[in-house]
Amino acid sequence: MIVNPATRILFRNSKNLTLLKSRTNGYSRTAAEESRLFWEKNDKLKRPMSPHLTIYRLPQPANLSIMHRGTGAAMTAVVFGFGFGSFLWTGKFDKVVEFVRDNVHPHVILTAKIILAFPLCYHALNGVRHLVWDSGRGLKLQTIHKTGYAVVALAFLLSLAIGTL
Amino acid sequence: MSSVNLLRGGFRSINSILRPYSTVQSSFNGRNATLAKKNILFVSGQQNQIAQQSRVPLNQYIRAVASVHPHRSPLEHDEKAGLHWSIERYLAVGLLAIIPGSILLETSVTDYLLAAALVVHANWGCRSIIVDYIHGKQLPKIALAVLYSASFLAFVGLCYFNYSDVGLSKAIKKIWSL
Repeated sequence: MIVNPATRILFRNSKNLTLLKSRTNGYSRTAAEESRLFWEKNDKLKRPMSPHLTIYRLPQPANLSIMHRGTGAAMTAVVFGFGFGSFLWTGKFDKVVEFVRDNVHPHVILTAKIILAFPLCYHALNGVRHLVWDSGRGLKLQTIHKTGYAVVALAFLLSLAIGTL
Repeated sequence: MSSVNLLRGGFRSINSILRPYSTVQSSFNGRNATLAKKNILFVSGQQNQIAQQSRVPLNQYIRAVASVHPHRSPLEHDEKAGLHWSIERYLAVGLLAIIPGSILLETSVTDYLLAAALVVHANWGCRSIIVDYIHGKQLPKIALAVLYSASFLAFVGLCYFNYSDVGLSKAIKKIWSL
């Protein structure tokens, strides 16, 4: 394969010329290879990760995105936990409910219901927001911020309403 | 001179790209205009058009490059990812109906449907979390294996609850009546 003089001079002292020649698609390396080489070099030189993530204040959409995943993961834990638990209380679910009714204060139960309802409401409403984004709508940054606040407020009100049902 | 696409086929066809080096060379050493006329190639008494225009040596003026379409993945499973993405969205929309619907209807069919939909949606959500945040050679495989076995066990458990106990919708109503 012919390598042009400019490239030859640029890579004069480089061992990478073989790599440069080796690919048939005209690019010297794939993006994945570039990325791998970068991280290997960072590891070898013991460079710290930069910029460090924790020194920045996350923007509202990022926080809400994390909250979406967090609520999803939490509800997954509840659903899976209930699934595993069903082997423990086979046919005794009514007794479990009676036990909670007799032993837990109603205010605690009310608070627990609101806390249980909030992730569902938020995840559902924010999920709708994500679906709207997936259809290519509402992607202006101002709109994203507005719908974000709206979703949090609505989720809070809805969880209060469902919790007090 | 910019590169010329000879063949621009559809997906995964081989593009032949003519990439003359005259531009690169001239910008590098600024000798484009001073290249000698002896470098022009003559083919069977007729002057070669490309060589005449670019005035670069024979072994440098042309390079045929075979490349895959740069914006499409050559891997087959990447093509199917789009379909999976769509099914994920349809299920998400479906859950908006299945959750309130099953609680209102209280039938066994909707209970099983709710169990399946919740587990599958949770599995796909957690899968994307694992794929995004867990890196390495073995760790993602282990995490995904744990996730899939947990999902399976949870689905079996929820079905068992539907079969042997009051069922999901009635259970939710009973908890909410506390």
